[in-house]
Amino acid sequence: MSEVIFQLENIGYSYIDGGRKRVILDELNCDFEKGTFYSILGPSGSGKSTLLAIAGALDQPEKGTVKFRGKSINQLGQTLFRRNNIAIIFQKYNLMNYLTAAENVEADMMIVDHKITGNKRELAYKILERLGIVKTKADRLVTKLSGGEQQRVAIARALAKDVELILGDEPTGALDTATQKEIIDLFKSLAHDYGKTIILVTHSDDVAGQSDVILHLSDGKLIRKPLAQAREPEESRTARKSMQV
Amino acid sequence: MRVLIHGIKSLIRRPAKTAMLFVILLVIFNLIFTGFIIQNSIQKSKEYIRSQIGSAVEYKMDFTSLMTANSSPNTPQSQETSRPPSLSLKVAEQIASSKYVDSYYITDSANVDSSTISPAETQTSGSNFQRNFSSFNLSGSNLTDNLDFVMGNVKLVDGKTMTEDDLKNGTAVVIISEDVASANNLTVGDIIPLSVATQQQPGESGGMGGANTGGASSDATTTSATESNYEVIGIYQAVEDGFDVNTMFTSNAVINAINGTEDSDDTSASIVFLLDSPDHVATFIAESTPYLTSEYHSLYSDDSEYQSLTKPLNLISFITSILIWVVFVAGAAIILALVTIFVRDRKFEIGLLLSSGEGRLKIIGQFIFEILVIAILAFGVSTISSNIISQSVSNWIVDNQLLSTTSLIGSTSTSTTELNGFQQQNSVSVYGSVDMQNVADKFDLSIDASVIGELMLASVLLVFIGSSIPLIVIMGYHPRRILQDDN
Repeated sequence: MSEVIFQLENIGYSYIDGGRKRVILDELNCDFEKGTFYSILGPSGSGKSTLLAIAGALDQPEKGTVKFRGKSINQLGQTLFRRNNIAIIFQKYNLMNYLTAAENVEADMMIVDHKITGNKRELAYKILERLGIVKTKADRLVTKLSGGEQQRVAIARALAKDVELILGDEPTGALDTATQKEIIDLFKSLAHDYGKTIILVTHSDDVAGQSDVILHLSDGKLIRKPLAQAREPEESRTARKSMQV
Repeated sequence: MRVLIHGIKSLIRRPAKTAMLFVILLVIFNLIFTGFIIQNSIQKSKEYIRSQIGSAVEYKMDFTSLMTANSSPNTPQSQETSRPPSLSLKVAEQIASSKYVDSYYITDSANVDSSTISPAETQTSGSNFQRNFSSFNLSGSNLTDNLDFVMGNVKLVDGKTMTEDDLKNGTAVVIISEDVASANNLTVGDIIPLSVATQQQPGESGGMGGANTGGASSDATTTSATESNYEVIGIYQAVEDGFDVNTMFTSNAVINAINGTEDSDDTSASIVFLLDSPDHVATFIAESTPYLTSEYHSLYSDDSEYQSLTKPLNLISFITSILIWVVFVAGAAIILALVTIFVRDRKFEIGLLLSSGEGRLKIIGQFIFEILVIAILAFGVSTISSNIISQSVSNWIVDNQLLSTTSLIGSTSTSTTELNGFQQQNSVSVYGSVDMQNVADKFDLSIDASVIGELMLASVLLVFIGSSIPLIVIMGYHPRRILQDDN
């Protein structure tokens, strides 16, 4: 069994909606192992993004503890945890639009406290090239790149930080199938070859199907299931609803 | 490092926003700087006028009040109104103990004749009221330098001034003008006989202190004279136009011996206090007036002239300060609105940096850096352009305000000596002349280090007030709300 590096312990989160308390995460527990590629599936509104925000120290849970390498992230310091231990990839608004692709990637290397060895700009070019962004494009302002290219740059930013944990909120949602496959292969490689822990929130069965572990978020809890079982409750519910209609 | 690199890239790669903020800061700075420069120049002109008028305050009889009291039918005639008490040396000493007093001069005087030397011919000879019956005026001093030397009305060209011993012992020494020296072929070290004319009843004899007392008679019917010898220790040259060159300088002790007032506290001398700064005149008068022993005594300075000369400048200064404040407040509001728009516009960048673990203060630091770079550029251009704008405004001020006030002032401190029933006056110029042409010439708009310091302070304050609120908002930004909820 691999080493557990990230833990969600008894996480609880709710909000008031129309005067009613709505529980999103309820006593949620989950351990994440080093060098594993996780995907989290769940219907819309199930709390996937909230879970990712809590895991990424972008939001605070009402209850419970998020631990990295056995230490609460509150103890580590949320900002420091975000800076040095995780990288988050969003579906949109991933880049600083007045910088070139290479400068965007370089920016994250400047933020982290640990020393990035070698020339940062050259490293940025290498990472981008690996993601299919050649040097001529890497020197363009990101606003001059296509949506798919921008998302690759966003992923490159996450890789540039050289952290153990990468979180993604539908990071391949805006990409075409071919590019999506390339990126997923890259995530798999990062997990298996470089020991990174990848946690992606996704709607895509294709993406989930290629991950090592599929977690289904349902009724505020994370349940570990194979893809077929993970999809079953949602599909069954949809089928039942259709029959009732 | 990231803050600086990204700050500079943001400025260069968003030229429209950079230019917009630059132009707005330029306009605001120019208006404020112009106001500041004009105000500073006005302040300097007022200081110049004040320095020209000087920092002298006189302790003197208030003849205006006395005449008003005497001529008013409602004022009962009293001992004080018919013959007010003389000025008091003790009161003068009390007043002189003020922290604002640098030095104080008691200038007493006596009129003397001489049997062997004659007065120098001057334009004022024969018409001078002060010496309508004598040849020379002896002007005494309580300090080694007579007030006329201090005020620059005369300057020593040969010999020396009096010593402390001369003052203390009443040594019979005089400093004469080069005109008198030339007319009588006198040099330093010569001995001259001087006599004081005294009105004499038949059978009465007059006396005076001096080194060697001799006897001489003058007018057979009204006066007789007693001569004493005085050593010429110095020769002066008159600098002030119209200065009476037949004035001889000596010590007050000599004058007191002549007038027989050695032990008297009462004095009719000119008493002048020179203060450490013209700015302290009003405070000094206010603090020292309670020491006065008669309502007909006063502490006087030429403040009224100062007030009248600076009136147009004060008006412009007032209007300028309103302009500064209005532009300052409006400018701060404009900067606030602009920076708020810029911060909102870069909300996602802020969210992204926060999610990457960048510190909020560093993010604010980048905004401040960008604003400061633009502000410094605008500051540099504004200091030059506002100087040009101020120049044209100053031309208007000089032509329409300063030169229309063509007053030329200059007045004298006067001691009044009663001798033989005549009021004799001894005048010392203690207030400078203010030529408004000079003031106009001195209306200096050049920017010195202190003005630049003030402008910089105003700029920093303006930018700080304008940008602090929107930048503080960043402290409250929630990265999740920015990056996920808006997705």
